[in-house]
Amino acid sequence: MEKVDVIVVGGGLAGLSAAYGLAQAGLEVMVLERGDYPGAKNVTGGRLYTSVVRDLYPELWEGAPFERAVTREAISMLADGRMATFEIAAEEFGGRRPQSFTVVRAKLDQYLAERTGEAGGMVIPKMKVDALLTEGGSEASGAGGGPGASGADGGPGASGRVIGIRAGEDEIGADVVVVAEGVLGLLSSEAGLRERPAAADTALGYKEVIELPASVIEDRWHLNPGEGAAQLFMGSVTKGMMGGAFLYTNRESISLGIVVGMEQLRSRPDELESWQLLDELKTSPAVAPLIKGGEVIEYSAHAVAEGGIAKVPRLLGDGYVMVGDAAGLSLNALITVRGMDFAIASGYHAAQAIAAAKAAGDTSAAGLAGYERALRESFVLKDLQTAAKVPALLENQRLFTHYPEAVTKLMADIFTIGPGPTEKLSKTGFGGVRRSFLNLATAKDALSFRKI
Amino acid sequence: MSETPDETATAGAAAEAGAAPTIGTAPASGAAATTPAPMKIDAKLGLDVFKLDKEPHIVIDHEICRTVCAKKVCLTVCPADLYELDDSGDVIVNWEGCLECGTCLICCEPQALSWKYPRGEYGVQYRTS
Repeated sequence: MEKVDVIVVGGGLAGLSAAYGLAQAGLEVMVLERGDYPGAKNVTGGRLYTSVVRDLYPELWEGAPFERAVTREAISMLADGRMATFEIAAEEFGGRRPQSFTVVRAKLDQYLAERTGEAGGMVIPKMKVDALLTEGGSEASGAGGGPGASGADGGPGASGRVIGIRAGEDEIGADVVVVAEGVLGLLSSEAGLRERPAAADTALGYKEVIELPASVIEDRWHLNPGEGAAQLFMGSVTKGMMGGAFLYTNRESISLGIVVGMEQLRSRPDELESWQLLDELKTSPAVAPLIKGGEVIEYSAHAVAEGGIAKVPRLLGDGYVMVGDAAGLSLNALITVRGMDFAIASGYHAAQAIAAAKAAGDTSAAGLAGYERALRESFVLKDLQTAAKVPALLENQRLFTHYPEAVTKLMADIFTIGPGPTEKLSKTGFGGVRRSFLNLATAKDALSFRKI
Repeated sequence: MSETPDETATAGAAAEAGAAPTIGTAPASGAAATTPAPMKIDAKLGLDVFKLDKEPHIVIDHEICRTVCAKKVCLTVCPADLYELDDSGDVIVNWEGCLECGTCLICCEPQALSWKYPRGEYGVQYRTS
């Protein structure tokens, strides 16, 4: 069996970030990507928080093909035909070191692949890995999901050492396999390295990319050239289900999409179809003007890991590490939605740990343990730990029904002049607050919100 | 693909036309007469680049599907609307338009789906997502 130092399964941000670091460290690294090119199978909302990854590979980000630096953030609540929007434009979001950029994955991932190639790594597209090979000749079948998936008795981490991969008829060995296969974890769950994703811990995200001229985007969202906006929508857009809608401005397009919890989606008693949520949002009077004149150029969908720290699998074992979405490293904290920054950072730390393990001649779990230590010391696991109670909180349906209804009603009442006499603003305001926000249910919510 | 500009243009124009007379009197959904028809899901998929393999990458176990599954959630959860019932009431999947999100796999409780990614270089190839 042909053998290299490191095989990276999947050429997304986590895999490429690992490969780039490994190539820089002088290791022989091969990235196997099933798409026509890196990014071909990837979908982001999409915004990347560069603030947290900028110092990891400082030379990488200067020339990166980012879309727009996000300088305006907005969150909108939708209910009963009303939309209340809270918007913040802050100089510190932009400037010379913007905290986040909108991105298009096909561009960003190909850029990272090129840099990885220049550093001496090998990125092979159109190559799907069918199985992870483990010691003792045992091989996960690679048949994907389906009944009787292996690993049921042993559970994650029970397998023998990972020694390589199989792609079609070819087997390739490696001292370390970087599992960067993405959120579904088909190969790693087959091999018993993690559980399959459960509907309760996963959301469906889907979006349209809508083309608009740069000048229209800048006029419509009040942006200076090169600046971008991010807007989240919650409330009636998901019909009471956990989730919301998002809008990100790219250079000459916007990404407009929906994220909705899979468990809520499949438990609905009615015949609502997932894809209808976006159409309803697009045709709502509050949103239709934002996309007016735009041409849809792509429609995409992806699963989103939302289980939080509790669902992060064992991060490493003999001969392998798990990075990015494959390791459940993503965080929906309602206002901020993150994953790509975690992917890049986990790839970076994996590369450092693998290089150290190789130098020490020990690529067992003990030899690779530096990876988990580094992740625990970094923002990745710290932020996931801080948000440990968020996934449970998001199951509170009132977040998606009562609060958007109450906030939009209160705002509308304040701004309403009816046919008769108008009551004092203080009465409208305090009355609305008392009715909607001071009761037992909201008091309970307030207690749970204190945990985040 | 050619329908796209027309449909989105219609969306914008109709929303504009519908706005004026309904201010303050109708709920958001009240502009029913002027609400444009949403772009059909097939038209959306028509915008994507697909490289079709000869073999399907999703196979339904009809035995499980018929006997174990009480609620066919696949019919509603798929964002590409690929699942439907055939004339005999069996679930079929138009796998050619698959966006590879895995939602059907995760949501199918009786595990009636054999679901793998398409072979290397096949399936959807996103360009701007």
